[in-house]
Amino acid sequence: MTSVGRQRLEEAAAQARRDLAELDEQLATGEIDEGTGRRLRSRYSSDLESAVEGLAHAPDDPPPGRSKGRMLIGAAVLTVGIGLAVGLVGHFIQTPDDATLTGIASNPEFDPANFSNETLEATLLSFEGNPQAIEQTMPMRFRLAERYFETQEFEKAFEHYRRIIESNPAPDLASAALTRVAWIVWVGNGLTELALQTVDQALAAAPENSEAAYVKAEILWCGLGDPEAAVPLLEGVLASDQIEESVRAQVLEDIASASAGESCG
Amino acid sequence: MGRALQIAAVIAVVVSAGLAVVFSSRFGRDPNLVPSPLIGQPAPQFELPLLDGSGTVSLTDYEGEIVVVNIFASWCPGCRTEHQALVSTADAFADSGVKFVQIAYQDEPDDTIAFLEELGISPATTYLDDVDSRASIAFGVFGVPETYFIDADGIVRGKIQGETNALLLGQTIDKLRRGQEIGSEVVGEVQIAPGD
Repeated sequence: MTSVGRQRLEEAAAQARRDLAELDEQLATGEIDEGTGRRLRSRYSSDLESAVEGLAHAPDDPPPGRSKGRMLIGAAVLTVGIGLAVGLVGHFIQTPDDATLTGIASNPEFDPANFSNETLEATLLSFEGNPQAIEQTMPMRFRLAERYFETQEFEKAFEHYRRIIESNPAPDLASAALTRVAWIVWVGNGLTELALQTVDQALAAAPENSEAAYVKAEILWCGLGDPEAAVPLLEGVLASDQIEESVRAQVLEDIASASAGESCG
Repeated sequence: MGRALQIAAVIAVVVSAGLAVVFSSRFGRDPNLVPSPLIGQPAPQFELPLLDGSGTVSLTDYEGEIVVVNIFASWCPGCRTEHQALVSTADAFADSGVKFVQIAYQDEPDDTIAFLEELGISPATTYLDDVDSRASIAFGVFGVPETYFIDADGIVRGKIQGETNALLLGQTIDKLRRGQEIGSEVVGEVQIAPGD
């Protein structure tokens, strides 16, 4: 895909998001009726989905100025984030309301770590046509997306994060999934603006998400060359109890560099 | 004559006692709890026609691959319920060297085809017609649905009797790929014939 094509998709995604935001306002003020709202939401959501999906399949184009060392520390923070996010899946199909979720998955001791990616994929596929199972299978989907993310199978990860985001998840889960999507579209596709918009959505869903704050700081500093804007975010990350000591030292170093106006990497 | 009657009476008593032992061991038990003598044995060989009539398939065609053999029928409610799980699992494992074979048991091919058209098929699955119940007899099928797991060496490693689900299917394949023991598992009722 050419950069022009990417730009067009990025603009289409941004437009769809604006349309959705306006729609919310119009519905809130009673400017349009609910039926019209539903139709428009469906259309705008479909536009957004198409654009984001197209962007996810764009060829790799790493963001400029991102050193291997910084990538590693980013990955380290993300790993911590992953660990925290995985905590969200603690209620993994332990109390299924849906009688179709029987057998092993209904066992309170069920641990998805014992199952292959294929098995989790198969299980999710088998519940595809069952809207009642969406919420119950969401933690399984998130776990699977995380596995793909960790092994850098970004296309597969993206698809599952997208499905989670579209399924109206809890704010923490939405924020975690949006943060991963932001990372993927930035590192995987080089779509800095879209990544920034996405990580902003992640922070809007869960302002305390320090991983999202870190990713945003990275995008601002390394992607947009704005160290000044990155500093307060990095300071927020530093104040969080969500990062390990080894990472804390690197964040401190980042703050010093960014505060001095140095370029990323 | 009297001697012959005595011998006949003894034989009758022995036979009756034998039958009593057999019946007492069968009655009062869940008829699904039938361990498969196939576990640990080479899989029965078969060559069956494809449901679409385009040729035949033999188990030897899958030499060196893990094969999941599911015996099903269009008239079996449990088969209907588990079908999506089989399709999903076959799709999910399609790129992982696991082959799925579904064999229609005591079914009219038109009914089987209508069943598959209604519920869907996996491009990764081979659908066969068990003409004259050849494969079912060879596998010692008790009823449907039944699912057998055959390792890459052609040895039957596991069996699920009754309606299964994707998680159980996948978990069983995972174990097989790790070389773990599987054995026989009864997860539900099976049907021997329509309307049972």
